[in-house]
Amino acid sequence: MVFETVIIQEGPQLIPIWFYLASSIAYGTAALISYLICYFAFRLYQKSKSKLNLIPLFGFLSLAVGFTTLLFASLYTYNYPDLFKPLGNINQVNGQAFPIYYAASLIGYFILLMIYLPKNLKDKFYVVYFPLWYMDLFSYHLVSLAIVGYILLKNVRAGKRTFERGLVIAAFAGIFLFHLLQLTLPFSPTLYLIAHGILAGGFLSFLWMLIRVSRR
Amino acid sequence: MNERRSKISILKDILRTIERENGRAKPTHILYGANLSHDRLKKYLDNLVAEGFIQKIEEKGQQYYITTLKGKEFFSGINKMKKFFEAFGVEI
Repeated sequence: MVFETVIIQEGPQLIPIWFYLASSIAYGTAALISYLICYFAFRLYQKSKSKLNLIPLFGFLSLAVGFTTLLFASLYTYNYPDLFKPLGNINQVNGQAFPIYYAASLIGYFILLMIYLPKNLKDKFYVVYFPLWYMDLFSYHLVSLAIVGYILLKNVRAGKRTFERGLVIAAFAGIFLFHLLQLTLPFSPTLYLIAHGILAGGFLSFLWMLIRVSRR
Repeated sequence: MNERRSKISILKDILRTIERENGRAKPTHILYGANLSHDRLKKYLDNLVAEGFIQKIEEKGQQYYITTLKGKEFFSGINKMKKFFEAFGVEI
């Protein structure tokens, strides 16, 4: 995989060890807010009995599982940096965590995509899950960019213009930029670090929307 | 726009009409408020009564529908759900 190759060649200089703490905060923020959205959707499902709520529930649950996996892997690497120096910070924990994250987040994006797909496509869509289960980093980010880009576009074009919708657009724009900037890892580690800040910012935008919606 | 309303949207309109009438409304008021035919209204009202969201009462020979506590929670849930999905650019 591109990610592993680069890190093994360059070692700790490419991604400083303190970054694992910073990324843990970003992943933790994303995971926590995803769980909150999940809980909110579950409460809505309980109250309204509408199955439509199951889409954000399972979509964000899947994203939350992915980010939680990365959170623990990142914290583990930060706490035991000496164990992995000969391999340039790559370790078995990260090696296991990233494929889980790829799969969980892609499933999450696909589920969220269901909200925006035409009805006749929704039933047939599950077929595409399988080829995407195992992917390399580059393909993963490209597919994520395509899905999140489509969701972002549909969000910008559809529905009433409200402040909450602006926050959701900002959140998806943040996730889109996160995937886009991750592709710059071989060229610019700084942008890679900034990408995680943008990810956390995007999820904080979701949190702001959630607070406003739940207060009404 | 001439889009078909979803079931959840119709239920919301029925409950909103009852709430607007101080939690107690005549069937004819609900019919106009929710903009439904008599047959469809009856079907939805029976459904809401069966779920325990509204109750049918009779006073001086006149029928009324009142919202129950469960119905109020359901109404609040639907309103929040509407706001939530609107934030995602989806009309329900």
